[in-house]
Amino acid sequence: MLGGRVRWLGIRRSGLSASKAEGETGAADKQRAIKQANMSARKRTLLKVIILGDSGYVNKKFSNQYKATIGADFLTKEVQVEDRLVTMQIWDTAGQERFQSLGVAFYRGADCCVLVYDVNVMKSFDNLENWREEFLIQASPSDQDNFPFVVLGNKVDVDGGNSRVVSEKKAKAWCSSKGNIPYFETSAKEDFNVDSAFQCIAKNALKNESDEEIYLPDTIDVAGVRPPKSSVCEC
Amino acid sequence: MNVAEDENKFHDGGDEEKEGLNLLGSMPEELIGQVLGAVDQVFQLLNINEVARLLNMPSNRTQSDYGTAVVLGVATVAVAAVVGGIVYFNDGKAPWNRRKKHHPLTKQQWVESFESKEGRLSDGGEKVLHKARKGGIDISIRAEVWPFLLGLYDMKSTSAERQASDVCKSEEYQELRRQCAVLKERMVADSNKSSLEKDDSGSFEKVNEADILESMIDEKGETSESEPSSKTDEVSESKEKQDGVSNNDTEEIAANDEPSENPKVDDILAKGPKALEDYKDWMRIIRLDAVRMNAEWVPYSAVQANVSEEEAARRAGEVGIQDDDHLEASRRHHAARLVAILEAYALYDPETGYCQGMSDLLSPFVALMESDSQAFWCFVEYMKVAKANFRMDETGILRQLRLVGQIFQLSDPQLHDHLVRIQADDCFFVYRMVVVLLRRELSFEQTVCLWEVVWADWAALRLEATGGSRSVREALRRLPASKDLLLFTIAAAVLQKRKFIIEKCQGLDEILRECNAMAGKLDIWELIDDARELLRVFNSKETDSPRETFKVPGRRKTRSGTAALKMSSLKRGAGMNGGEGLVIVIMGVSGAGKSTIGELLGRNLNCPFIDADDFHQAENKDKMRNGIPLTEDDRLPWLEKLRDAMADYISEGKIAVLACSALRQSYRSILCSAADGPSPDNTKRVMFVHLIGSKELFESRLAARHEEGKHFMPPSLLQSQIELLEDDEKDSRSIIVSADASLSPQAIVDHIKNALSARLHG
Repeated sequence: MLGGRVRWLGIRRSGLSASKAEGETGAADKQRAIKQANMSARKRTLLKVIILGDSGYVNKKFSNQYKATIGADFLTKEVQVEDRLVTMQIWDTAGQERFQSLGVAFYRGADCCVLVYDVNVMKSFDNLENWREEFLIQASPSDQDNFPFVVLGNKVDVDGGNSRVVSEKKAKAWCSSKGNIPYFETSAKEDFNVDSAFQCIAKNALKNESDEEIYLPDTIDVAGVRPPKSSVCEC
Repeated sequence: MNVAEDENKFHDGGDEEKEGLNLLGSMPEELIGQVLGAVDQVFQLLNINEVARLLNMPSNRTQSDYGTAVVLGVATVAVAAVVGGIVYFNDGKAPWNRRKKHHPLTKQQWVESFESKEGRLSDGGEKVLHKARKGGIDISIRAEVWPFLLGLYDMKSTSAERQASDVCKSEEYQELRRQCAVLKERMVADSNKSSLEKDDSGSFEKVNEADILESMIDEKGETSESEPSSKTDEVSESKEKQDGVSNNDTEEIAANDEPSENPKVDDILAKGPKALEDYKDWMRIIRLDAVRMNAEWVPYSAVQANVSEEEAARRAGEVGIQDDDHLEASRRHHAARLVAILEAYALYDPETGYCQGMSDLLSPFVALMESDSQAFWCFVEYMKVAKANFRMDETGILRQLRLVGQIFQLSDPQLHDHLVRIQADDCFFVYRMVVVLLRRELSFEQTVCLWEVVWADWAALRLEATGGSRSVREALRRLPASKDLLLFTIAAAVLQKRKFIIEKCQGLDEILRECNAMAGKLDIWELIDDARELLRVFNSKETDSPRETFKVPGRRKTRSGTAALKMSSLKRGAGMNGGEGLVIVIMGVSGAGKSTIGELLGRNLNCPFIDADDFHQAENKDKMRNGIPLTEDDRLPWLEKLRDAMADYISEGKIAVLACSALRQSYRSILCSAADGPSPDNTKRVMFVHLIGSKELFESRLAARHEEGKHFMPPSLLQSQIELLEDDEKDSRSIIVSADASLSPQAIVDHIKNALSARLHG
């Protein structure tokens, strides 16, 4: 026991650094970790975009399939942003509130979140705030205040705009109150404004490029790849 | 009667050619006529390449003859039989039939299973169940057999009892439909009222809503269905006859407003505006999903496929579907029936209500059953189990995802390790498969084939649980059943992709894409065979963890399970031969669950659990209780004591679990020094398991503890701890585990055990 204490003091004096044996293992681990990270880190040309909104109001053209999404699914879309070709991974998850755990599992690592409502249905607009909060809680991005959102007011084509209940002004007011979220009026059915919306989504997601460390460890990390410091205690 | 005899009687594994001939021979003439017509149609529709593929497909996979046709999306009752026939007549041994053959329960066998006097299943349904579990059910008798498999009909019931039950159930269903109409009336009245009260600016939306609601109501008076059809057994027929005899019951009932007459409606209204809002939202989504249902079922129901435009329009008008003008009559009719039944279900089981995915589960019943009431009650039986998938708290789905994970862990550790490495071991990539029971990955025919095997398993377990005979038990021994057969099937599907997943998939998204792309590429009988094999393996290695609810009834749990295995492998990893032990330090801030997890891990590994809090000197405890953070000098003697205790365990070659915050790197270095010594591999003597989670969660736990006076750590100190917490460097001794509130302690402990043994051997 006495020996142990002496060794402990020695370690302490040497600036609490790891012992030699530890150091070696640490280095090997580090190399493996870097290799791992290179393999698994998303190339920055791949952007993860989450689409949220009350079910049924997100038109099929935004999502992968015509049938209701069960669980989660994504499609990829190539977008040219200035001189870069980026691949957008567009995620669609089941919209009902009872599928909350999906958010925790699938929102992590998102680069941009697109909130969609139906300009003809007030409730779908009222719920945008809930979706936004839900996203921030479940994805817990490292910079909550500056995480890029884009809002789409969809189905502007319906009934020549006569059945519209949410005005553009009202929607824009909400967007600016939430930190100037870019706003687009779209018709997925008529393919109106969809491309420019996705251009904007890609640009906003790319702005966050420096923010590389989005992954939250919610499972064991066996390979020794450490999570970013900030996410460990979430404070 | 033993099982072998049963099988002989059913021509099990018998002469294929003979059975093929029988099948055509037993068809009534008009059906043969239909068959030939349908074949003509289908071959016109078919891509000729696919036909070629069908007939030459060099595959060694198992296929039922019927299934083969279906995989290509060709199948009609008729075509399946004829293609089957062609195969038989050609050579009797198609290349894709080399594996075990699966013979479905045939119509003849089904008819012969009933004793003629009272119409009871002669052996309590044993043979039928056994046959269905092994080979599924012939297409022609599905609608008749399903109510037995699902438990809607008692296996011992007489035909008179079943008829009486049908009448009774039909009335009950019509009553639910009537109340659906009443509730809709109420909602329209409510929103009209509120739109009148509102000022101009707000009324716009409300009027809009009232319009929509109004359109959902049968203009002709939906209560025409509510008349109990006592005169005839053919409920659907009587329903149609009564239609058009318009009456005004709905309005009268709404006007009278007698609560006792509409108990289900009153239940909803009593729960307040939120419940009504929910129901309104369900009605909207039900309609949305119903018109989106595809036409895959059409070839399986000649009657419904040929429904007239007028009839379809009538049904659609009855439930008020919009946006369905583009649909052909059969799909419109199908959508209308889905809406009626799902609405009734939401009223019948308001706790579940409606959730997307339920329409997927209902559609096959509607397709194969002419009577809405029959389809509804079969669906109700199915939902008794499946509603766990749609619970608000998600416990049902999370339990199943965990079980899938455990199946991988036990049957394919290499795959499991890979999943852990890429943080996909929560198995969320099979979420969709679990929620809608593989409906999206399988074709219509494959889905019902799997489901009826699953139901037959449930029924066999029910039979066993209610004092099944020796032959029932014997059959279950030879072909093990599980209430979770579906999950084993899902695991089997994923395992077919194991090589790809291990070599190519570096994230959840890549596995998910692979899983979602399985549709149309699966062979259902191969999967069911594999699932049975996995079940066998799983049962033989079944864990004895107390938390795990999975259990095959009638099987005793043994202690020689995984925990014991893990224990020995941990000991090997810890180098027990060298007289060296292992201390597993569970670390993290207060409220992370160190004590709970540590204690449970200790029990799992059958080794002592030490709580570092017990080592604090009295002064330290006083300080903390008063909210004064400890200084480095306060902590040193404490850490020293801990390290000495750890060194004792290690030098004696024992394993111990220690719960200790160990927030800083320097503290951990102190604890690590317990292992310093002549050992060649002292990096494996002390392992750190870091429990992480959200600050809010930990705060709430601390607050609860503080109130109970159980702990000397007030919540206010949490922040200081978080500030102290230092991230480890890439240390092979560290394992990070999420202490998420959604995971059971046992699940967390299981994670820890796996990660530890991987690390110690790695």
